[in-house]
Amino acid sequence: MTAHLRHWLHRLSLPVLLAFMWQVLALWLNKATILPRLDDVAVVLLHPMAKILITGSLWENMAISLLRVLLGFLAAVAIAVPLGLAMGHIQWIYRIFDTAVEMLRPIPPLAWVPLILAWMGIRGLADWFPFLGSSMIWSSIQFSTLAIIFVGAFFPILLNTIQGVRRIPCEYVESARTLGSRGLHLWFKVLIPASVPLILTGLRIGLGIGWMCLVAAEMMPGSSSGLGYLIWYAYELLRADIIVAGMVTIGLVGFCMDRAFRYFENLLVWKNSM
Amino acid sequence: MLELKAVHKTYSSANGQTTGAVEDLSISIACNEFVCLVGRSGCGKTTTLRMIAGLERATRGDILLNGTPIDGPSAQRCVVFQRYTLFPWRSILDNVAFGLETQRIPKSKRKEVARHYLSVVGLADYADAYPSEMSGGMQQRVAVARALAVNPEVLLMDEPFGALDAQTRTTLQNELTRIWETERKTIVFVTHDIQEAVLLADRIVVMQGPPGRIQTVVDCNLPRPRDKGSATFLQQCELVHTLLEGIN
Repeated sequence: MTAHLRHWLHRLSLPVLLAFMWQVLALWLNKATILPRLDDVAVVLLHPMAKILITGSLWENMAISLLRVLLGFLAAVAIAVPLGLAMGHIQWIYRIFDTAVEMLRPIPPLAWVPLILAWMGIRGLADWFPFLGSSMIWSSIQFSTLAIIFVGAFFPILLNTIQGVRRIPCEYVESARTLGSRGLHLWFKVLIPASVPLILTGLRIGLGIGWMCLVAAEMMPGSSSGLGYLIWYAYELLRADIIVAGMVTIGLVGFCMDRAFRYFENLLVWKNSM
Repeated sequence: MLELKAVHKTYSSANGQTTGAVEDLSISIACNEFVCLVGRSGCGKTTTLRMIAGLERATRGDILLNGTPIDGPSAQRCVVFQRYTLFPWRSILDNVAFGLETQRIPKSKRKEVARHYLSVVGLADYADAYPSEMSGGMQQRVAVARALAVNPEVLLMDEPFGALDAQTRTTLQNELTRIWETERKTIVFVTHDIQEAVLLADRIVVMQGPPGRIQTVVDCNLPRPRDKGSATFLQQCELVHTLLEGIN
């Protein structure tokens, strides 16, 4: 047996076994509302463009979810990366923010839901920013949904960025300074490039957690689209096959995003040579 | 001229205790002079070098370069460290050109200067390589080229060959002598290797401590190139060795 074949045998044997047991159990139980047959799930997955119930298709729901996560994630990046860089390099900024960060960090993103709802309500982005126009997409993206994703993605990005700067060997910075580098040159030519590997790790983890917060965010009142909403909607109609198909989609998308990020991380060949 | 006048350095720990790192250090180093600081670890030689670099501030006393007090690091006083400090995300050429970016020099000129100094250290063919592809000895040569490229008045070297194997170290010592003779720089070189000091220096500052003090300054007038096997060389080493041992 070739090593390649063995590799894939090891990787796939457990998932195949679990799927087989699932299917056997489903057929024996014969209760689609509790344990849907895998072929029913596959039917949903294999027709991503088909309209599911009265919400949009699986594909549309996935797209809107992706857009939400991306927007919340980008907002988190825009604040966490600069703040992390500053906290990592400048002691007094670190001291000012550290206590607050450490106190807010352990609060699960879900615990923010009631407060965020109280503050922001269930209005869509289009209501907040009229210049976006009144297209369906913008009005179906609520500010509160983005806020939850933001909270989830923010802390891993911030902490990794801080670590990224702090772990720069001090000789790098000292060499740079005795070569005449300071101010913006030191930031953009030494501190930021040297911390990019850990920043990327933070982005990957942040995006993953943001994606995980999605279901919670889309469960909130006023939601009418997205994979998280789809799952809850299907639950109310006792359609376990759609629930499982939605879960599988969430898992697959998360997996693909993670792999894409890892690919970029590996492009930075120098990250292990520090 | 580089002057240290009654320089003191003390560190205070969190519980308020102070420990002296360097005590009453005075020495004048002439232009183009090659001075080695020797002494066992913890004798304050690295601290002295870092104060000259401006990476640390003297608690008391003055450090003057051509009469001007030193205030923070600058490209006038460039440091080559023992640990490899090339930027791994930059090609070798871009590493050497790094310091030139902070001076208003056009890009093409920067590359030209960087290429020149790469050839000075014998690595002209490696301009497009990356640090991770090079051996330790090659990386240190690039570090020397990077420092020379900014045309510093004083080159500060903190055990730059300490992490290299014996053969590579010998090669780099000879190269440094050659470069120093052609480029004419003031060099302050920290080492704990007596042979290295005798091979390179015009003057050897023997330090004791902690707290670091200058025990003696030994003139080292052997003609260059110096032969590590010659009787006079060994005598000189013996002398420095006795001075260092005499500290105990």
